[in-house]
Amino acid sequence: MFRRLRSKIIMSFCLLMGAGGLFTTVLVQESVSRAVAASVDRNASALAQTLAVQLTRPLAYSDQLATKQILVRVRKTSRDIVYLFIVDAEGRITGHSFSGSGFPRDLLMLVNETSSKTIHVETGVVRDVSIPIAGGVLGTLHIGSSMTWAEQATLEAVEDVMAMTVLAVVVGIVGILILAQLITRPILALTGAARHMGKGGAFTTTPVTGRDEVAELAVAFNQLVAQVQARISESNELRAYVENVIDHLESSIIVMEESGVIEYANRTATEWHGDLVGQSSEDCLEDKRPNLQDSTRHVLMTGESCKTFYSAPSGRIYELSYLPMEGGDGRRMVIERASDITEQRQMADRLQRAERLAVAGELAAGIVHTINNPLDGVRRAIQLAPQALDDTNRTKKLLDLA
Amino acid sequence: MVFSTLLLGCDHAHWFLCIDALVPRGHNVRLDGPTIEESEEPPSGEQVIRFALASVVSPELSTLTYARFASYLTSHLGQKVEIVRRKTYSEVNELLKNGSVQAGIVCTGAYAKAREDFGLRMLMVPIVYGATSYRAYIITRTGMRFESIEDLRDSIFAFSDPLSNSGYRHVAALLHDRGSTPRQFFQHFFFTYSHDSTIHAVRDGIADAGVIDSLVWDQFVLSDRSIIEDLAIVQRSEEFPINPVVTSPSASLEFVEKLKGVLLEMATNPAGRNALSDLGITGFTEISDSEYDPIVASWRTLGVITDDSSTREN
Repeated sequence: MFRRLRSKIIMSFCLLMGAGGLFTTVLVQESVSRAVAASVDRNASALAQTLAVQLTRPLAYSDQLATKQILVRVRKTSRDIVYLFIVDAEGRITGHSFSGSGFPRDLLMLVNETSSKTIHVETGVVRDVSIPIAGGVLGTLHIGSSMTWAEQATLEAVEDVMAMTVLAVVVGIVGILILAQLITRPILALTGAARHMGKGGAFTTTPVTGRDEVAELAVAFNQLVAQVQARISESNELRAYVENVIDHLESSIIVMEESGVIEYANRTATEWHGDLVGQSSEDCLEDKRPNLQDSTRHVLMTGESCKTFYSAPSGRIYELSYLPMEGGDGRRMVIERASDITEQRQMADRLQRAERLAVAGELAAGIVHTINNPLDGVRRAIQLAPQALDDTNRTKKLLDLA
Repeated sequence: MVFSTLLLGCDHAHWFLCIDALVPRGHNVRLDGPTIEESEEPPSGEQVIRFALASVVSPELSTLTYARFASYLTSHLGQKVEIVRRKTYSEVNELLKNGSVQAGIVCTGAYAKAREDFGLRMLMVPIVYGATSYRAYIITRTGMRFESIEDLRDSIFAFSDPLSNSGYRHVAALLHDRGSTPRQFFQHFFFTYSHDSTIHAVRDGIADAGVIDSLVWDQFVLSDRSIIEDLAIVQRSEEFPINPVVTSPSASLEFVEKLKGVLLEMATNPAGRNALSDLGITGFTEISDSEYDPIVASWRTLGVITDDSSTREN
């Protein structure tokens, strides 16, 4: 319901203002009530103190008439005074402002009260304030002050606070809407750009207005877009370069998934076998790769490379290398490199024959050399023998040597 | 209220009470409910000794100070003692006469008249500032240029009570000696019914001069000199016997003796001394009743005491 940032901001504001308004209302009601009660207490206390002095003589002289006259006069002249009465130390009512039927028995509950007290009477809330007369020797004067005006003042204060709260909420919501629009508009632009690029669209930057956090975000986003764009460009160039290199290899390069589906084939492979990508290696290579399944299985199971050879009916000889590879997403794959080694093999054979001939020549030369050396001695002994015919022994030795 | 009505769709009392319910309120009291009678007797119904006090000084000054005195008497007499005051000395005399009060401290002048009128009995006298006598001071404001009684002619004068010795009789006697009366001598005079009220009347310009009890003046000298700093004493009288402790003619002898013992022991008792110190009294003593005879004679001269008014049986 509140997925959008604007909704969250508005809802948070409303909750905050509502809670603040309620809290303030209760606080104001409480503080105004207390202030009003304190004001009533002060006024009543001031009046009570004045009256206590006035009442000292009539009470001391037991002048009930004068006492009554004072209490009734005060009661009549002050519309906020509900009652006045005096209670002596024995708990007797020694004077009151009530006329006619007399002193209400319910008020006796206040005779022992020395602190201010709030009571409910028929006409509303009354604050009872008491003050001792002549230190309590002549009794205690109780004055009951109506709190009706005080409640009205409290009510008006609470109403004012609530009105201000509602007004603040309304104005605040309008302000928040404008603020949210200002905040979310560039964010939404960023989101749109990111979403567009995510769907393969062109890289776009967003306009930067102002210098606030959102503007900083837009700047960072644009920088990121530029960097990503540069990286992708570099990556594409590198990919093209690598593919070009691979395509120019004389070997066939095939990348197979674990399932055998061919995911990549370079140009040589395509030239040799046609379009292989997306096809099953078993279907299109089985007849040209007698050990394909064994080799790929070996690589997938052991993770080690292996090599095999294949002699085609055409007489061509191929070296088949199988290498393990891990895809970017963790998939296990197999690379097959097939190289036509027919010429290499023929060259090797010729070289091998040449080497064997060279060895035979060297062997023959050795044999000739080995034979020539004694023959040369014999020849020389024989050549010298006629010159030593006089010397029989020498001749004999030469002949022995020969 | 309009706002709340529009906002919440209810009158203000309802939603206000909703908030107000959070605040604890008081008890419910019915002012138009059952009533009680005024001045109901205390539940205990115990016997009370009523002790009268002449309004030498106003209740504002004396109520608290006599509270401890009454408390002491209550604890030592074994019965609750209640202080009784009346505005005029004659009212106090009337209470003593009819037995509504059993004892009291009355003014010298009132005692002198009551002794002759209905046999009020002096029990003893307090010792105040070490003496059992006092004087009358005629006072005026500083700068009024009153230096003698003659200077007070046609002035506005304040007396305390028609039965007061220092607060009326003294000046009345002085004027009588000059062949005059207060009504003839002064432009206007009135009674304040306490000596401190006379001081205030003069100080505040309600009266040009007045006559008071010297003990009250001395009390202000000790406690609050600011009250009398703008006042001057025009004349000091001779000494008079002090206000006595009296008992009603109807009081029992047993009570009289018990009260006498308690009062005499007060000066030796720490609690008693404390109670008396509030009143500036250091103790009680007995003096001769004849010391009041000159006051009686003066009243007779002034016509306050006449043979017709006396009901004394002797």
